[in-house]
Amino acid sequence: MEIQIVEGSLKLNKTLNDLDNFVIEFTSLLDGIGIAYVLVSGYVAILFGRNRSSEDIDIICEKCDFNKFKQLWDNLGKFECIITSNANDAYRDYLQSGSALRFARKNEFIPNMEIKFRKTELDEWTLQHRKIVFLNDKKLALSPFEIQIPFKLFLGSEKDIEDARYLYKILEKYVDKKQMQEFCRKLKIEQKCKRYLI
Amino acid sequence: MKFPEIDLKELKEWKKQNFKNRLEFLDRYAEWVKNKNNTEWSEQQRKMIDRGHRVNLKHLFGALKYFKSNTDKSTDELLKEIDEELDPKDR
Repeated sequence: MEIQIVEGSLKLNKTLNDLDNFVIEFTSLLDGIGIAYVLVSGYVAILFGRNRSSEDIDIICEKCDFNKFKQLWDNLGKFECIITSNANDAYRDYLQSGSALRFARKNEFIPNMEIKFRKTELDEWTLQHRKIVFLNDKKLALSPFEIQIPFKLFLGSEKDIEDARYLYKILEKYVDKKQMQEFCRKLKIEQKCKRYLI
Repeated sequence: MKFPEIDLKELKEWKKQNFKNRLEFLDRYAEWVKNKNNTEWSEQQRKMIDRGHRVNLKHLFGALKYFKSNTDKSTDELLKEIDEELDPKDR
């Protein structure tokens, strides 16, 4: 695998699969409107080659006002919300009340983008320290590996542990180990970290 | 019908061993990806992921073909009819 580091960002060129295209198309809508986001799901592992698919891609967004959200809603283009067809409900009943909205390509159900507003201090940190990856020159904002890997271990299903281990094996040299250890300590998963990663 | 005896201890051990084997395979796969150029590993990944998508589309088109052979309705009319039959949450 060839990854380049350019001014703190990673550059990865690969043959894009359907999931990559889906993510690029949707996140470019967010970028176009100026909604800060971070990809936090198993997609991060898939992006770097993990050989599995996913029904949903999780995104944490910076909180925005209704007008900005309406801009996104009115410019969905080939996408549609599969939870509700009403923008007011989508904003107030879902995003503002801490629930996720899901967007898919029109007339399709999967894959879908599961969007939430940031809620916790950890979400805020993740957004602030997002890792920029240029995938075939398209900009994507990812959860920093130092929290992405421990958080997957914290979630703890076999699939999550596999994702964490795979990411660590592939990206070890790009990970700030001290920072990752600190997150393992805070999440109380030091034993899992020793067992599955190191 | 006579159900087989299930030894949960044995199954737990099997599950543990199965996970261990998967992690071993994952390590081999990660090594392979690290040592291949991006075109090689990502082309294989694309085939695997897109194949899943194609299977879903194939089922959809197969169903449409079946319905079309039994009706004079257009594809749009059929899709609309299917949509109306679906539970709103599944649309």
